[in-house]
Amino acid sequence: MTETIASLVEIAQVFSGDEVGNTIHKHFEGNKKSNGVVIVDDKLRPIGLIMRTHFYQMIGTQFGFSIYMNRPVHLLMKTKLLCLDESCELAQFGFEAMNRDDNDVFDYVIVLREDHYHGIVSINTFLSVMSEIKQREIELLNVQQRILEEAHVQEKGLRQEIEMKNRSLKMLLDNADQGFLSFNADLRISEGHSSVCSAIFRRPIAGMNFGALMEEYLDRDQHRLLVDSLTSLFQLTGESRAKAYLKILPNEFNTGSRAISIAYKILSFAETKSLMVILTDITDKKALEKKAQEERNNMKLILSAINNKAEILDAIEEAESFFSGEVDRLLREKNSVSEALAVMFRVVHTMKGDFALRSLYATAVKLHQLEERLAVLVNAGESCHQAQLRDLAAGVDFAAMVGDDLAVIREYLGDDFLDTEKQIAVSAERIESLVNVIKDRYNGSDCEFLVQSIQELTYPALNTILAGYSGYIEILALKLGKEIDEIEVVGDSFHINRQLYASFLRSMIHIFRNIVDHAIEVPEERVEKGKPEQGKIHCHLHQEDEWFVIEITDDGRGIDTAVIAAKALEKGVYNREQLSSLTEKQILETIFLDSFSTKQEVSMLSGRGVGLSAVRNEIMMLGGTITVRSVVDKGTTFTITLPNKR
Amino acid sequence: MANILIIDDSVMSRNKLKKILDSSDHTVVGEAQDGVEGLAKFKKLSPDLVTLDVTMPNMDGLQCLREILAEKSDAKVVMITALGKGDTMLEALDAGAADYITKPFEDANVLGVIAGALEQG
Repeated sequence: MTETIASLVEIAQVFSGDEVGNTIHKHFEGNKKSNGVVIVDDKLRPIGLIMRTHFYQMIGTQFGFSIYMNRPVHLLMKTKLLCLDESCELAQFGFEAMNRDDNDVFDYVIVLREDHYHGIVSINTFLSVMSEIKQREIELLNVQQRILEEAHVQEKGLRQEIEMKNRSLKMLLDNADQGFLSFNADLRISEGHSSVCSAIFRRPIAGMNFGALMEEYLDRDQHRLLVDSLTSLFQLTGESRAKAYLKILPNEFNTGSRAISIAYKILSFAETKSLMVILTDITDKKALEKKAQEERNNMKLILSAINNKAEILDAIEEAESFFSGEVDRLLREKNSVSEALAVMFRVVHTMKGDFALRSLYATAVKLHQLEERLAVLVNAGESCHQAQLRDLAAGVDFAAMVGDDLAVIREYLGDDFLDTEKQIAVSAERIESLVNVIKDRYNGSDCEFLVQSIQELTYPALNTILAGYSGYIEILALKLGKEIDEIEVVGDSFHINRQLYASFLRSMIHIFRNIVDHAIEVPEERVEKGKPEQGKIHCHLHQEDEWFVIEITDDGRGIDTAVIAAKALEKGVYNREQLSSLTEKQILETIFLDSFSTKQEVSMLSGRGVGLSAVRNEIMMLGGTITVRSVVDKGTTFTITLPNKR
Repeated sequence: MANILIIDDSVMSRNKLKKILDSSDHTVVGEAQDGVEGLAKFKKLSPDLVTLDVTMPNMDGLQCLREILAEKSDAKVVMITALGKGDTMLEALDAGAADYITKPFEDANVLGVIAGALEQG
């Protein structure tokens, strides 16, 4: 309110102080609307004020008329004046005017211009103007309030809309298969997590520390990595580097029966940094994948069963006889428990490889578990007791181990596939007794021919047996991302007694596994070295009267004696002194020693380094030898010499 | 558009990386086969970005990373590592590496990580 009183100024009649009361009376009589007059001096400066009501009050007193009517008005005028300049603001004016004595409150306020009389402001006018202004202000306020109210309604609408959006978003999130939660630098999980999270963790998680929450689901190293990475991440300023940290965080965990994948997303990385965690239950997906893998394995098993029926039945029979009596025999015959244990470990290891080769994966997995338990005993060293080994062996139910794979074969190929021995799935004992029957009944050349013919059946050609590893090599190469041509078998073609060489033939798998796993390089590396992308495995067979020789050559990376020496030292196979006295050839042959391996991972594929020692042991039992030659980056040749047994 | 130095002891890895980078608009300005050579080439060539293998003879990747950052505190270094080396990568990132790439290489991932690293302030 910065208005001045200028617009309220009215004109009031002025008189000199010398005028008599009668003149004023005449003025009031003649101007009914005039409520007062101003008395000024000769320089037009206000010296007094006569208000109509005040004037007639004075005249109306006893003797008033006779005293004042013919005397100068300065005797009855009010001299206590309120004079204000025309520039005075309304507020100031109101304050001054209303602060006058009660009797004077409705008197004119005199307005000056440059200290001279200019006009008056009547309180009536002032009040009516003030009320108009108030009215205008109230209207303005009303308009403002209406605007505010409208804005409020609008805001409420917007808020409802946002709330609805949030609600529907939450509903969407709650009904998604994924759980969403978020937290800031303090890792405290915020309230707004989706309900799937509660289902996954089976507890209220709002307010919990994400690191503490995950502790029970991750192993110690993973958990430390999670907490350390998050701590580092939240200290950063750049979002791009923060994203690099996200890649380190664990991406899967298990909650009892469910498998959960975790993805992370930066929600904001400005003043407040917050991270969203997206949890997906992948149990069903994994189960499906597992099922698909099982289907693939089953098909391989069926194919293998059709092609290798005799070998599979042989292997099963042999395994059954090993677990039912051999272990006891080993414990009786061997000098120490650890020696018996070493043999058992080797046998189980070879058996595992053999069943895997024949695509009986379920059986191989169970043998792998058995091997793990044996490994624990092997590592226990001397402290392993005979009773422990005996208990472990007694607890093995091989029929149960092989049961799942056999059930699959029966399901696809019929119940009697394994029982109707159309092919030569004939046990050695039965052939032996058949031969004995023939020997009893026949004589001379007839007998010789018959026995020979029957035995031929169990004397397969060695080149066919070796070429049979192609399928295994192909699968293994595929798993390891390598490319290998089909095995090439050249040289003499001859038959061997399957029964006599069965264990040796089975152990050969370790040589091929070593070649695929360790020797043949991945295609890029081969190209780098100027070799064709496909690795080559070449078998050369040579037969003399008493002996036959198998040479297996690959064109892989060769064996680096420096690596072998370093490993032998690390594993304590040799000490530094012993090593320095060994020839290159002797160092190379370290690979045939028990418990030596150039790879540290233990898996069903790679084995534990008993592989090549198992081969050597089988060869030695037959009275043969194995040697190895190798040129780094060119390849390796294993030469196996065996007595020709009939 | 960046000048890149490759430090890796494996010829195969270097060639593979070079092939990927040559297919983009980046330029491989130098290659080194261990940390010592890498650091020397870094000082000489002042590349915009370094790809740095973790496991190397003479001076390993982490040490080399620290030396490079001591030389130029805002150097952009992308570590190269095998899968599953979370601890080492955390150490590298904490030490100031821009990002990391896991072997085996995927072209898109390599170029994506390098682009991200170059954008870092």
